[in-house]
Amino acid sequence: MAKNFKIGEMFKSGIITNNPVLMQTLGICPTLATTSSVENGLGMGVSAMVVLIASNVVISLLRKVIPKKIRIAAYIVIIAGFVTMIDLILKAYGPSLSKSLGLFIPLIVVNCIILGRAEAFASKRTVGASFFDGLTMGLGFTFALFIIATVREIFGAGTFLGHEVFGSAFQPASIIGMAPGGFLVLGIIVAVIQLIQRKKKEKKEGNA
Amino acid sequence: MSQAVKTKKKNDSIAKLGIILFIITFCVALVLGFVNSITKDQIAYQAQLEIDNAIASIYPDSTETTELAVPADVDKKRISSVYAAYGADGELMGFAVASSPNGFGGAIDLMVGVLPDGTVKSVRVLSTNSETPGLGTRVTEEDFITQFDGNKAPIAVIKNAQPGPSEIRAISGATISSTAVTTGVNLAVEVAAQVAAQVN
Repeated sequence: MAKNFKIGEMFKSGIITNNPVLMQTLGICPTLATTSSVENGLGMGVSAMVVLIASNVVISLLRKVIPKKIRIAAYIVIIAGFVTMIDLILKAYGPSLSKSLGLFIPLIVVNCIILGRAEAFASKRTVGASFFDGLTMGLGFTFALFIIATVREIFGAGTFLGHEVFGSAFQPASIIGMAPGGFLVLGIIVAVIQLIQRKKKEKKEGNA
Repeated sequence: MSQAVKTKKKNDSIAKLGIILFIITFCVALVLGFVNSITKDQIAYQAQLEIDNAIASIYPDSTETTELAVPADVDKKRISSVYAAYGADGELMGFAVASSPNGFGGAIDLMVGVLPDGTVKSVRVLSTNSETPGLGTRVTEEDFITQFDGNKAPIAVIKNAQPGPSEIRAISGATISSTAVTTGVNLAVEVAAQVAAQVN
């Protein structure tokens, strides 16, 4: 898909078959850190997606200008620029979200999904393709965060988006909300998705 | 000779790389400077709004607040500002002290309401900055932060026991953050006492 990329295919790849978190296990630090509540998970996902799209587009535009030797430094500067911009804008116009995400917004700079896509995709492809790559990978990241955060918030705190799900008799397992629980939930979700993928493959082979 | 040529070529390319990187960095800095100049006032406004809201929620009946001078011997990093809240007929309702004790991963920003007699009215957590999510950030929870209401300084932190007067119960797993908030409240009460002497 060098030039005529297929958008539908890219969506499927970014969200399911090549999902950055669930399939490539990239960006695990922000994934575990922000998924203790659905609101934070979504905020992180969307912020990272915006940075990813913007950095992909700019890096793709500059791909012939940036010499190979200093590409990583150049990418980091560009990514850090966008992250700082998002940070300032959130502080000015979305102070409550900015507060709950806190340190994790500046940490998008070192999110390996963004650098990974810059290196593996945007530095070699056209601007349009890079834009869609950023969009689909960002959606995949947000989707993964949403699923993990949903499981963790429901079982770890007994709420969904802050609303109580079970009655007051429910005793939340607070370990799910902490880091070890994050690893457990992530592991189980990855395992379930692998199982589904394998079943699908087997079915396909069986039919053929 | 070939060595010399090689070195020269390498030098050239390092200079070129440096210049390209400089141009990229310069452009990014330029754009960021621009974004900063747009958002600066709005961010300052949000910060002030937050302080005003916190004071209003501590003293719902107050009609006027005045910023007072922070005593000179107090570390400005720990106590950033002090306000006095006045009621409708001009009587002093109490003080609001912006206190920033050192938590687990940096400062925790508090607004501490102190009554003129030195009793803690209530405490608002403005920002937990870099406390551990799910542990240290729980100092914002109602169950914890309302423990300060009506207590007199010095307040002590205890664990695994029923707190008595001037005692608060630490959040399990977040003793450092709980202690930090308490330290901040105690310091705020001290400062309020100093300021009260000035006002009267």
